Amino acid sequence: VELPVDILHWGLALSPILALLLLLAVLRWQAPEAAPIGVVLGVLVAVLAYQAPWETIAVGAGKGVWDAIFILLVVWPALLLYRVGEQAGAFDALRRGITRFSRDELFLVLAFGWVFASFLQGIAGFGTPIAVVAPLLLALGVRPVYAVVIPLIGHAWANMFGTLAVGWLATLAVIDLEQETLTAVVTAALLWIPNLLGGLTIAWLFGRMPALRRSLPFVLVISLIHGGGQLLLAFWNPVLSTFLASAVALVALYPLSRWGRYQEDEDYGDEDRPAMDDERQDPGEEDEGEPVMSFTKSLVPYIALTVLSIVFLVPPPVAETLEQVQVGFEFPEVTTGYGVETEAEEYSPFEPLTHPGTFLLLATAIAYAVFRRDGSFDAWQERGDGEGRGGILASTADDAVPASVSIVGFLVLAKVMDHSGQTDVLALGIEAVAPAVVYAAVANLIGVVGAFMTSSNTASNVLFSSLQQSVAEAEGLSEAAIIGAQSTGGAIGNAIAPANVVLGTSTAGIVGQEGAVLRKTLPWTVAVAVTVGAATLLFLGVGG
Amino acid sequence: VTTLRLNGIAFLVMLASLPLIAFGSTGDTEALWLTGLVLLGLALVVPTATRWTGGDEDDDEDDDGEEDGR
Repeated sequence: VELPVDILHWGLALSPILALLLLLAVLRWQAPEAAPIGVVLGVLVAVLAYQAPWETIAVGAGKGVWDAIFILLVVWPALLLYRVGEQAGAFDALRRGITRFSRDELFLVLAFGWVFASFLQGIAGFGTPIAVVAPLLLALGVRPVYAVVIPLIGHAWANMFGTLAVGWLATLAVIDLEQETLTAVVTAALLWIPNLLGGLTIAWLFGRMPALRRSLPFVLVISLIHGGGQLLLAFWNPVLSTFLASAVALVALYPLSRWGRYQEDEDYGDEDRPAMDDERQDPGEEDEGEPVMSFTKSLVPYIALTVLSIVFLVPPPVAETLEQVQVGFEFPEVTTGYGVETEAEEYSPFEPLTHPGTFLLLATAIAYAVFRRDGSFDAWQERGDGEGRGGILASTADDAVPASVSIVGFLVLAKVMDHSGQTDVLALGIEAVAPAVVYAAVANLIGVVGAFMTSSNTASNVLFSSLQQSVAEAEGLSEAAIIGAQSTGGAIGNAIAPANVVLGTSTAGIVGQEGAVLRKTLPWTVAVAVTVGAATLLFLGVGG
Repeated sequence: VTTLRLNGIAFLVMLASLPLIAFGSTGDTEALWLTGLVLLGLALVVPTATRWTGGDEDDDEDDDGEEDGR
């Protein structure tokens, strides 16, 4: 392979990513409008500067559409679940019922946006935490943009070892690690940073310094369980580390909710509470009649989702049996003029019986049946708050279509850049100019770029782990620290990945406001990346 | 509504392009994968084109979009 690693080709490879950031975050284009510009740029650069034949472009684009389907199979059922709950009055019942446990909105926002989102990522993944939690936060009175930002930040840390460690297993499949346990432990230690900063940032978004101070015991306890638990479990079983840690944190919410500190809402006076819609009526003070269903019934879809996921994904014999059902397309070997080869393969077979979209769909069907049987749809419609069952499918499609076209665009761009060698040039360019110590500090940024492009920690590690390992070896850097940095970058990059952002804006009903979300998650991602870079240097200093 | 319908058609065309590309490239049938690629390309530019030609309800958001309700 004779890739042109020079400033011109590096800049050209970076141009589609910069164009997307510019269009979305600065010029405030909507994601469906911006995505094609990125694709066109990526294809032009591939053909004109990277000598990619059209067949290579076609195969890359086809794989991109296929990758997008994995995410869309979460988007559509998640939106359907939201619409079913909305038209049955479930969110009203949920919002009012939850105040029995705590009337502290800060506690509830952290509980849903951080703890529950992390739990969902621990087991389901594929964007499920964002798609499910954003509507729940809306029901609590969180402003729409923040309802998307909070789970994006809250779930990011759990990407690497989440979804039963699919990212970790994929990494082991593409590289041979000399010190597997040490790498898992260093990775888990680095992931503690986005976990802690995620909790603190959510509190800060909620109510700046006063909220940050009040949330501190909560954040420290949960982060100790999340980050510390994952770190300890990484020694024993990385595959279950996030799932077990996030499940324990979920259980810990109950004793925390009994603590007087988090029982009643704090009076913030004139303090700024940017995340909350303070115009909304207090659910305890309003006079709008009884909810149309019980609190327990409003939780049916989430209980069903959790139970189905645990029963079918956690016991290895069950999961292994279900994973045998696979559907996929074959693609031929393709190459470029610079010798970038992509092997022929049955590409990323889809396992319908273990995909979280299937569980979301089943949970939706169960919720629909329960709500229909007890007459919730009709009762909610009679109160003038719902449109009935008839409009559920149409309104789902209204939200899902714009999200779908942009997600396809982003994933097509990622694969075209990968198959034409642009992705490799981006990483190799950094490696070529950065001295060893600088490379170590920015290694996680390569992971961030991979996740930004693909919306996947797993895909980022599959793309870059091999390169990171080679550079670590050539520069005499610790393999564990560099792969840990790559993996952590891949996790935090999910907070800015356009496909994830679109997933959130579509389920929060604010398609078109992706730029507003990015302007909040981008600074967080940069701050965490810098901290992770410093921690990587620390590990290298300690480990030699 | 027009924009939404156009995007809906574009999305279906995107999905339809996948088997054309996969079977065309695997079976070495250039016309098939080329058709798939062209269809995908056309479908991908529809949403951007509607920014200028559709011009309906989906105009730019407010400042930060934080005041918008669902």
